[in-house]
This record gives sequence, structure tokens and C-alpha cells, in this order.
Amino acid sequence: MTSRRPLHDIIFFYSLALPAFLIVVILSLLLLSQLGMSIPILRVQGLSTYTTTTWRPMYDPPPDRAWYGLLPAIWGTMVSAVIAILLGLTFTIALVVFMEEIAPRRVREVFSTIIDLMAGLPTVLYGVWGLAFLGPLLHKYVMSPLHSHLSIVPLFSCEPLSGATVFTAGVLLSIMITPFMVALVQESYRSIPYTLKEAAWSLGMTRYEYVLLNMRMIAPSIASAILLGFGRASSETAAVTLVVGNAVNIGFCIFAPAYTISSLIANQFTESQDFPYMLNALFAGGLILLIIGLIVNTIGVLMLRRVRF
Amino acid sequence: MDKLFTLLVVLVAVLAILPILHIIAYITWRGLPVILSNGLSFFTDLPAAVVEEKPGGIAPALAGTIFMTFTATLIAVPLAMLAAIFSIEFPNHVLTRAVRVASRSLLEVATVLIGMLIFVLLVLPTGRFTALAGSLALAIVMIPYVYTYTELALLSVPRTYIEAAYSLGMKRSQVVFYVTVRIARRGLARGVAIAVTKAMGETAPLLFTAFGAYSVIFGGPLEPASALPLMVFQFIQTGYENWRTLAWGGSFVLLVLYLSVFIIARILVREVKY
Amino acid sequence: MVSPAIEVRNLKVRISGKDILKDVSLRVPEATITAVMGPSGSGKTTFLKVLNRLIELVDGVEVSGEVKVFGMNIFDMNVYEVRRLFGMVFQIPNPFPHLSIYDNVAIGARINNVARSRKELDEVVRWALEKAMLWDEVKNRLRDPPWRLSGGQQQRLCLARALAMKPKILLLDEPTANIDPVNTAYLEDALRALRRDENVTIVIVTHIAHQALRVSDYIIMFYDGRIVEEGPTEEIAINPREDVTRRFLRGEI
Repeated sequence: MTSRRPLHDIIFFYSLALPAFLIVVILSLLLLSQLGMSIPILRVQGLSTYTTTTWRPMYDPPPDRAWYGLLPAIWGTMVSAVIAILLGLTFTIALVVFMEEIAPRRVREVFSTIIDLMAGLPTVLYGVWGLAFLGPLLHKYVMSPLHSHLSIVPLFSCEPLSGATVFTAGVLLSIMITPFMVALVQESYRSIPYTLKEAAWSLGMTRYEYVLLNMRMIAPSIASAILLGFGRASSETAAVTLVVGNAVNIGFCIFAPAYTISSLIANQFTESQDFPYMLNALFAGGLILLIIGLIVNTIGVLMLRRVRF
Repeated sequence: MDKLFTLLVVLVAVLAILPILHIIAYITWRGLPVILSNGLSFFTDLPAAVVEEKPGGIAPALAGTIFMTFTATLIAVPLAMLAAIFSIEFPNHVLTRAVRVASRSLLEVATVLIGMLIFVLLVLPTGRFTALAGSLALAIVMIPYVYTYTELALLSVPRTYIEAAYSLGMKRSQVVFYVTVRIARRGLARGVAIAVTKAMGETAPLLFTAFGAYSVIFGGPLEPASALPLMVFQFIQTGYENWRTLAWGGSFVLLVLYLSVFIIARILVREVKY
Repeated sequence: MVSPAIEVRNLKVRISGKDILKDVSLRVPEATITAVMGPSGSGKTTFLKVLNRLIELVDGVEVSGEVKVFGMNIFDMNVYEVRRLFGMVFQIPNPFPHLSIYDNVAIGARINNVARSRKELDEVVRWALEKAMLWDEVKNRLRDPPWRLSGGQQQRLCLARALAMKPKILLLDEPTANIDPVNTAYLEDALRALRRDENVTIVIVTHIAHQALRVSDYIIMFYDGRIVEEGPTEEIAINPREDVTRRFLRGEI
């Protein structure tokens, strides 16, 4: 049975739909502008923008004189993000196990608050700390020793000249993405039905075996945390720019300075005012970042839905 | 064996939270003395010329943060809250699904890209970096946070109150604004607090929009501007000792601001009750 | 019946494909207390919510048929105007938690423009609370939040809130199901007084046979989404025509 919709309801609908629509428009504009500003350089350099390592800013445009290859930046993003999730996952699992299985309630609450604190801290503060403290620390106690004793390993084969390396960026990122990953894994862990836990205990499992079992049960959300954490790590700009060294570099050694896509954008933006096409190259970098982020986040969210008991 | 496992877990867990504690201590150690030795002028002066002994102050950054955070909040909060109300009232509409996706995407995207968007839309056509552009970029950063927390808070209002409101003859907008929103107001405030924290702390969106400006305290919304995180980011990278000092002092101020809003948001959470 | 307050013809309600009300036709007399009674799940609450068109808030609901209130077809009217004809009291007390006792009652009056000045509002609030038999208990703490009241008091508060609208018809959905016997008695007294002094038409849904017999002048018996029978309470009580009614009155269903 339908009667005419009251005028009030119609006005209500449209006045609310407008802001909602605007938000959708904003996202669309983001995608379009990123694409639109990348096209000039892609037309001139083609897809090898993403596969070449030369970064040669010149007043004369590419492809003849200048050239803007983004591969080093892509490499830097990947490497730092991988280091970040390897370390971050370790932290995450330890924290979740600690808070859910070992810590008394008060301690758990304290840890929880501290993790929340980590989650929202302005990223530039992480960067400043990384630059002034973490970098030199890692340089002196981790990178130099590893290089002097284990330089056979390709990862450690170059001499770290300062604290500003892609390795440092990875370590800093791991600290930054941990709270996010903890939230994901913890929620999943908590949703394991109590009866399953009781069954495990009744079988006489040790704490170690029991935790392993639980982790296997929530494996999809751990995978999701890895993917979403990767997305987070690759997006970070301010903190990374301050510690990654900002040098065009690519290779196996992680003790060298490098660029990430976001640090390249942040670092070279002012330069790009002077060199034609450089700005477009930076946008092309942003575009690939967007695409990586989209893929990684979509798969990550889908994985989250697959947790079943 | 189990003992070893437990020990390992505890060690790594503690290791994981040590950095944040150290960060707070370290920034205080390097930043507080700067403020103490410079006194009020730290907050009211412009950064001094690089050749001088005294560092001057961070007034442009403070002014910029205040202006841009405030205007960004003014733009983002109504927009995001109304969109969230739309999603609650019309949950099956295709626009609701679109907004949810858009909000999640904006949440996940690198904030530097948001700055680049405003760069393309506003800075390039007008040929100038402006505080307003910075505000817009920050507003977009805030939107997904306000949207998500508002939706959550509104959803948690028990349905029976909504039915009672309708039974009194209230129109849809009256039910929403006099009853649902008001009952959920603490949750809404918390969402705003969290979004403000983000806006206050972001650097990347401002690189392409507000750009930074240190010759006047505040040139107006149509001039380039600085903000606390931006200033810290820019000054810590310079070669000049006295400007780096300012960066540390600014870091400390930013830390204090963040901790204050954090505590406020916590207090708001504790008091929600039906 | 001279002119019924409510007249329903061939009302069918389906929710998510399931038939809840299957061809209901009935009449509710004016200025009386009508009990809509029947076992749980017989569609009584749904029927009540059709009257003030609250049922339309439910997802997947289909309504067909004719409902006239004081001669007006409610489906032709503006839905908000329909709702303003009715005051409703729900099964579980639901005073607005964010408003004081005073404001809870006042909001009904304000929304419906019953009072124009602060003084008028005060009078309406007092009147409503008196009619709900709650005034004496709250007159000194009108600014208090409602959660300080007991369940029974909260329910009377909800009655006052509905009364402040000055509705023509009062709808009550199992209002005493969750409150104690003392407050139940208060509420029933309040209803009788309203019928007697204010000529309000009252429709009360109940699954308790005793309550129906005790409180009402007119009875409508529901079972499995249909009307079984209707009539003045004395007739139904002494001599129910249908077997279902008899079994219900004996407490067998």
C-alpha cells in the first residue's frame, strides 16, 4: 500500500544524499586526477617509466634528454614494506599472544592503551625520532656489525654510510604499522569460540602448541593483516622521507639509502616546479601507488571475510 | 619448552611497545629545553633568520595548524556526518554502498595523494599555494574517520527509542536530529576527536597545498601557510642548527597536543551509557 | 456501533514473504477501552502498528486493505498526520534516556504544537503526568533523568509522554507485560479514568485473558493472524461464540 511520499521525506532524502554523493565524487576525482596527470609522461616514456632506473632531470624534456624512471622508487617501497611486515608481524603475534594469553587484565589494558597511542601518533614524530635516534642506533649496532661480519650475504653487502637506509625505513615502518595489524589479528583471535579453546586444553596441549593451533585457525586474518599492513607501509610518507636516505638506488643490499615512491614525491616536489614532466612523473608514481594500494587492500579485506570456525 | 616460548613472547611484546615510550621521552628530552630556554617567544615569534643565534619561534606553524585544523573540521564534520546519517536511513540504497567504499578507500589511500588531488584542483588553476587548499586536503583526510565513527555510533542506538519517537508523530528529520543523534552524541564526539587528531598530525597532504610559509605569522586563507607537522618536517631537514632547534621544540608541542586530544577522546568513551 | 473510531476492512500484512495478518476486518468503538487479545504470535502487535503506520519502518513489509480512522483513510493521508492521531505505549518502557522526566513528557507536546508558551507547556506536562498517575511521585524531580525511576514508573512516564500529544486514540502494546502488579494496577486505573473523563479511545493489546476481561468494554479476539470474534466484553466473557476464544479465556492457549 503506497501513498505519496511526504514532501518532507523527499527533501530529507536529497539533502542527505548530496553530502554522500560528494564523498563519492571526491574519490572519483582522486582517481581521475592521478590518472590524468600521469598521462603526459606515460605518453612520452611509455610504461618503461615503471621499469627503468635512470632518474635524470633536465630542462629539456624526455625522452631525448631528461628521463624519469621510477623503478628505484618502486623497489624502495617494496623492500621497506617487506621488512616492515616481517618485523611487524613478529611484533603483532607476540603482542596478541601476550595480551590474550599471558598478561593479567591490568597489564593488558595498559598495553592496549599504549598500542592506541602508537596508532595515532603524528607520523612526522616517528620520522624525527627515526632520523635522530633509530637511524644512528641501527647504524652502530646492527648495520655496521652485520656488514663487517656477514658481507657475504648480498643483503648486507654494502657499507652503510649513515643511519638513513631502506633498512631503517623498514624498521621504522614496522613499528608504525604494528598497532593496525594488532587490531586486526586480535579481533580475529578473540572471536575464536571458547569451546574450541577448551577442546585444545583438554587434549593436554602446551601453551606453544595451543597458540600455534589458534594462529592456524585465524590464518586468513593474519594474511589479511600482512596485506593491509603492506598497504599501510607503502603509503607512509613523512616518516619514511626522513629516514630512507633519498638517493636513487637499487640492488640487493638493504643498507643503502633509497627512495620510496612517497618519499620521492615528497622530496622532489619542489624540484618538479623547474623541470617539465617531472611533476607528471611524480604523479605516475602516485598512480602506481594507488593501484598497488587498491589491489592489496581489496584482497586483504576479502581475506578477512574468510575466517570461519 | 613452554617456558621458553612464554619468555620469548613477553620479550618481543615488550620490545614492541618500547619505541613509543622512548619516542615520547626522547622528544620531550630534546624539545622541552628549547621551549623552556626561549619562553613565550617560542610561541609568538617568527623563525629567526638562519644566521642568528636565537632560533626565534614557531608562530606561523601554530597559526597555520589552528586555522587549517579548524576550517578542515568545519568542512569535514557536517559533510561526513550527514553522509553517515544517509547511510543509516537508507541502508539499501546504492549510494550508501558507494559511500562506504569511497570512505574506506579514502581511509586507505596515501595521504600525500590527497594533497596531490587538491594540488590539481585548486593550486594549479589558481597558481598559488594557500592555507585554504591545506584545509581542504585535511578535510578530505578527516572525512572517512568522522563517517565511520558516526555510522557506528548511530547504529548502536536501540531501536525502541526510534520507534517511540516515530510514534509521537515525529518526522524523519526530527527523529534523526532530536533523538538518534542526541542519544549517540558521545560516540559522535569521539569520532570528531579522532579525526581532529589526524588532521593535526598530518604532513603529506600539506606539502602540495599549504606549502609552508615563515615570513609572516599568518597571511590569510589565500596565502601559503605552515602547520606544526609541516614545519617540523621541513625544518628538521635543514642544515641550520637554530632551525633544527625549532623543529624539536615544535615536535614537543605537537606531542603535547596529540596526547591532550588522546586523553579527551578516552574520557568521552568512558561516559557513554544508556 | 454508532460510528466506530477505527474501521478496518480486508487488511492483509506480509513481512518478508510471511503472512502475518490474513484478511482482518473489524471495528473499534469510540471512547471505550478495547482489548485486542490473543495468544502470542497471533499478529496483535503488528495490527497495532498498522494503525499508526509504524509498521512501515520494517524492512520488506507489504500492506493491503482499508483502514479508516474517524472516517479518514489513513493510507491516503500524510503519514506524520496519521501518527499524530495516536499515542503509543510500548511493551518495554522506553523513555528517552537523554531527556529529563519533564522533557520526556514535553517533547510529545512540543512536536505536536499542543502548547505555545512555557506556561502552557508546564500545564500540559502536569496534566499528562496526573492522568498517568505519576505526578505525585515525580513532581519534585522533574529534572531527573528517567533511569532513576523504576520500570513501572517509567512505563507511566511513557503513558504521560503519549498523552501530552492529546491523541484521539491511545494504543498500548502489552504495556504491563514487564512491570510489577502494583504498577499494573496504577496503569489500568489510569486507563479507566482516561476513558471516563477524557473520552479517549483506547486500544490495548494483551495476551493475558484476565487483563482483557478486567479492563475492557469491548474485546477483539485474534488468532493466527485472523479475527476470531469481536463484541462487548460482557458478552464475550459469559458466552464466547468461538471455541478458540473459550480456550483462550480458560488459559489453555
